[in-house]
Amino acid sequence: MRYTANSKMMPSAITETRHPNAAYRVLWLLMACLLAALMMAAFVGAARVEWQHWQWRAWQNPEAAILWHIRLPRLCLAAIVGAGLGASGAAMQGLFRNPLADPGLLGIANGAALAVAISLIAIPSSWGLLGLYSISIAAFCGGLICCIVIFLFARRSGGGVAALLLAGLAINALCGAAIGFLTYLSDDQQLRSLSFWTMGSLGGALWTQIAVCCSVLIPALLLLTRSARQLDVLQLGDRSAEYLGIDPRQLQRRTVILAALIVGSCVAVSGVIGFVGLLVPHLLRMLIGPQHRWLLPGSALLGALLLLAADTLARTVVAPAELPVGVITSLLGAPYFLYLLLSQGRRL
Amino acid sequence: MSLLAERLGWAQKGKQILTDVSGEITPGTLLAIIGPNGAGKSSLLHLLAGGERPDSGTVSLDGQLLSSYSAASLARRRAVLTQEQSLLFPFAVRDVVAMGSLLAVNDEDIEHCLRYFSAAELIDRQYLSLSGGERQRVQIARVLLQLLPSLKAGDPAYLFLDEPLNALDLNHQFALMALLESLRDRGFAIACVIHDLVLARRFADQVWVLSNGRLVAKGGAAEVINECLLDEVFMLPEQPRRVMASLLDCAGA
Repeated sequence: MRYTANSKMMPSAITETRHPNAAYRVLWLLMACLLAALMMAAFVGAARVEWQHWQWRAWQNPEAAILWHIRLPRLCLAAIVGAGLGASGAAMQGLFRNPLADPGLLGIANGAALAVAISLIAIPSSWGLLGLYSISIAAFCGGLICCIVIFLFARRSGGGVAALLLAGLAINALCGAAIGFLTYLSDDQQLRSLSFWTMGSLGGALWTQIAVCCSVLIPALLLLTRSARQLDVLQLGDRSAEYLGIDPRQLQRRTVILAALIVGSCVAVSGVIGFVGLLVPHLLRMLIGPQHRWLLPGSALLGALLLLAADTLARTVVAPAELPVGVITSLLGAPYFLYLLLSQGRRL
Repeated sequence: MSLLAERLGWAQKGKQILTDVSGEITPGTLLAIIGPNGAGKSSLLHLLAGGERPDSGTVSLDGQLLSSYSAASLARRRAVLTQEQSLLFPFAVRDVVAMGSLLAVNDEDIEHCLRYFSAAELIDRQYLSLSGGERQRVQIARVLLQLLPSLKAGDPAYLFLDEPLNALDLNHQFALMALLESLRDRGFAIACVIHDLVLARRFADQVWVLSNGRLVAKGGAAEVINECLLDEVFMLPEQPRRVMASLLDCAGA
């Protein structure tokens, strides 16, 4: 005797999911928007920029110098840091299987900032390429330590969202206190650098900084996208992933290190800019679904676009003065975070 | 060709979960692992599937220790349905089923696996919008996709299911057991932790009974699942025991 189950068609109005082609199109659209935004943002700002300043010969011209030495590096840095924060946010949400994970909220960015602060106070400034890398390395180490602490905590506590966020809160408070203590110890020059890192700013971007940041970020992003499929499977749970032939511990270790590398290299050049890593993957998941092979590159693109827009706003709203860009991202991100907390309330 | 467990012992957090469990699973058998709550059924399933390593004793597949296989080669030969429910992101059913393979999967195979269990109409829905029973059906399709290459090639493979009947309605419970029977007929070895003794009696070839971490009985369904088992292992009071006994008689008839 054979039994068969009923197979009635079920209505599926809002729960229909999108086809991969749609994700592909969204990525191309984001890339086009990013290029357009870069071009447009170059013309917006305290100093006027004309078309002729783009010419290579116009280097001597002061306005052209503003474009080539101040504005363009800043725009590129905004895009790169935004890309890094967006992608690392997506990777961490995948790693923690938690839509509320964010490098800033979990204290990883602050850990990186604390390590930078320690290196600023302890090592007298030796700028140049070596100095830039040493800041990146310090930021990476700080971020990595916090990331590992949070991860071990998450595993021990069974991965609850509330526990994770509270642990992030504690780490943020600890790092904040330590940075406060260092502020007390520092001299005037160190104090300026410290406040720059804790506030988060893209001002004073240099081409060398961009090169250093890119040299870490691009390989790390590429490596991260290589484990996209595995990150998808990890969502089933550690044990199920293991039964499918994945070594979950190795994958988690690799993702933690890559995410910390990316966050570290971002914090090293721009300080702590919050909420980009939370906001971007979330918005994107609504557009293209949660598959990491689209989500990771998409978060990089949307993160770049978002931070570029936020920075352009930050330097134009009160021009010729400017707001710290972290203020704008927090203004956008914090209400969204509250909304997420409310909508997830029952699961916390 | 078989999966052989010898004198397995396993403790966790200082508590002995399994003691001295031995048994063999051969291709073409449908094994039901039964026992009261906390008897160690799921733990035994994970030890047999290679998800945990025993503290003492060995599990070997085709004469080779399970631990000597790589995760990837083991994944080609056995699939496991766990009780984990950790998906929090809005994956499509199609994506969830596709997770059954680390290689690229075509839509045809995904639909094929969903159709095994009359779930083809769910393919474009969002996993999180499904009911518990529908989710379970999708997870079973995912597990089948993992073994689809073996199924197509006619190679025997091992299927481990931890309480697969959870949340399924009566219709789908029977459909699942019928599906497992047809897989068994194709040479699959299936080990299934199950609470429904009537279904175990009706469909299983072999039954292992666990109690307090020990294998207290094993053998054919008709000889193992009887009123004496209900009394001694499940400690059913007299009235429900009589009801169950008559149900079991019907199932065995």
